[in-house]
Amino acid sequence: MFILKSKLVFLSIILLFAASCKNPQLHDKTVITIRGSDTMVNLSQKWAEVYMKKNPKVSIQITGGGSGTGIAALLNGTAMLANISRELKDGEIEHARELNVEPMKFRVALDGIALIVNPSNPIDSLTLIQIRKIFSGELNNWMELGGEDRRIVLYGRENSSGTYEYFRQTVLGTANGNQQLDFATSTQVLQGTAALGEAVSHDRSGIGYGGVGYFANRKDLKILSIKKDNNALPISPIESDNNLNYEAIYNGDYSLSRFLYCYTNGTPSGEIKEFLDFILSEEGQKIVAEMEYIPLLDYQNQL
Amino acid sequence: MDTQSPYAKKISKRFRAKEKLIKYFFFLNGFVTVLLILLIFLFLLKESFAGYTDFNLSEYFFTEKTLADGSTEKIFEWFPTSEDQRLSIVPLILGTLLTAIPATIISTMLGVFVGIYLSEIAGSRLREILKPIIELFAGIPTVVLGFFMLVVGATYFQDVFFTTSRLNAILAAVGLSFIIIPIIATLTEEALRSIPLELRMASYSLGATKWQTISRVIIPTAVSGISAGIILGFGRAVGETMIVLMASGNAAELTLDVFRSVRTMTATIAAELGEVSAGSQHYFALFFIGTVLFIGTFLLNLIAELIINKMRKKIRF
Repeated sequence: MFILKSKLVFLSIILLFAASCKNPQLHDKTVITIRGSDTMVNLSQKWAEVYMKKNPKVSIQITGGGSGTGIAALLNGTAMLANISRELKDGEIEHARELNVEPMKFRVALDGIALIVNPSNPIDSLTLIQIRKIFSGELNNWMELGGEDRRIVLYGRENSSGTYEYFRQTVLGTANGNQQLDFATSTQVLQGTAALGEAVSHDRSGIGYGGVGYFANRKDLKILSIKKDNNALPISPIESDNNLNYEAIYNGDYSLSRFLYCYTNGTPSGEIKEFLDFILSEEGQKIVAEMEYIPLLDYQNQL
Repeated sequence: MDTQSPYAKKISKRFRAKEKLIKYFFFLNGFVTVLLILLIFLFLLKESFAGYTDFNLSEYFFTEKTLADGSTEKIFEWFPTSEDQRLSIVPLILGTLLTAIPATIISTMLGVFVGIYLSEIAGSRLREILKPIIELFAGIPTVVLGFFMLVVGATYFQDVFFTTSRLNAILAAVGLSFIIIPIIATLTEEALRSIPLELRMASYSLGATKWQTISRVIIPTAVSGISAGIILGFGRAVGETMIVLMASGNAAELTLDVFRSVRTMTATIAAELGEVSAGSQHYFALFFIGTVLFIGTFLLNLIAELIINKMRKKIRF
């Protein structure tokens, strides 16, 4: 009994000691607060994780909530960086200037969505309107698009994913009136891009969507070209050698791509500047590719 | 004697205190378990009805849409993040039933026969080998089963049944039956083995064959125990998450076709609760699904427990 007790005391002393060692001195840390786009939350978190490992004196706090909340937080000063998945509108910039905030724009990554089908599917390109009709359930046989006589099987992502939201906004868009169209109820929901690719690669009648970077080198999937309208040229997000078609994605010829931005208040300095430099460095852009977004080609493209 | 008695008294006092301590310790453990379940249930109820103030409970079942000609139509759709939010759990309940019922049917067919074989036909040595193997099945991590159905099962199924949906309810049901067969088989075997030997002997002494004894004496006597096993298996199928999340395709369609993709209640909670913003109507709806699941599986377990108790009394002549 005595031995047990002394052991317990010893153990608790060790634990206490360990706990006191582990506790970092928080008041020495510089805190960077980031708020904004849900699409960018995971990417930002990854940047922050790596950056904080390199600079233990910096603590980065990231919250999502959407691009709108990011702008609001930048304006009222609760965030030092705003993650925004679109460019600020003129009205928003004017409003910011009224509040003595000068938004500075930094392109940090590219987001491109690829439409994928089974390689055995004879269809190579679709127009945006056709894609909308497919995913809203209006078209449900490949024959109506010039393919084989098969029912179209839709694959999508869970409704919390940023890709789901982006695809819904840009492709499904708003129908007559101002009501947002929804995905057809028959859309199968898969957990993550990997499961989605796996399903489409085995399903001759399947179609799905996901980050271009992830699918570019898959031989068991076909990436469709997209036409803006009936008369436009079909544009593929990848080139014939399976590399990304940077040019089309960059200048927006490929319809399903967008820049992701970080906005600061005025010219960034100190820790914020260093963090932004890290994001735009080769290492930061490597993380972009790892997270299935498209890295920027040149690392200094402040516009 | 006289010198010993105070010591003995001391010992017995010490012993009594220890006995009491042990008693309270076990009581406390039991009490905490019950309390925890109660608290979980209260939390679920609280969260699922917290957003009730400006929200009609019927919207958890259907939304009414006004058509062009002025008439209204009931819509059963699950679109929690749409601008025009629809939170009907009806397709999800249907999805759960479409996976759990076929799974229970498949597992009953196989599980009951396995149970009968183990209890009545297999020799004792064979049983000692077979039983642990069958129970091992129940221990396969469900995520492994789900992955297996997604990668291997799905392709095989599509080749055999020519289904348009690669991932569908029946595929998930087959995956589920891997874990439900052992449940039903074990409980069937236990129900059969609890039947007194006298009944078998009496049957044989009247000239019945083994098959006659099994089919006319043993199974009718154990039928309530077997059905309790089936109900417990069904409860497990309703509550299982990972297999259905991976193999059912998760399309929240209002369908009765087991060859189409369905979305179950459990999979919906698993897929969406991680990302939902706390305090939104979507969040409360997910808790409402949780409450429905909790009550459903609780009732199933209760029924099974009652049946088993009743059977025990019946067998004890």
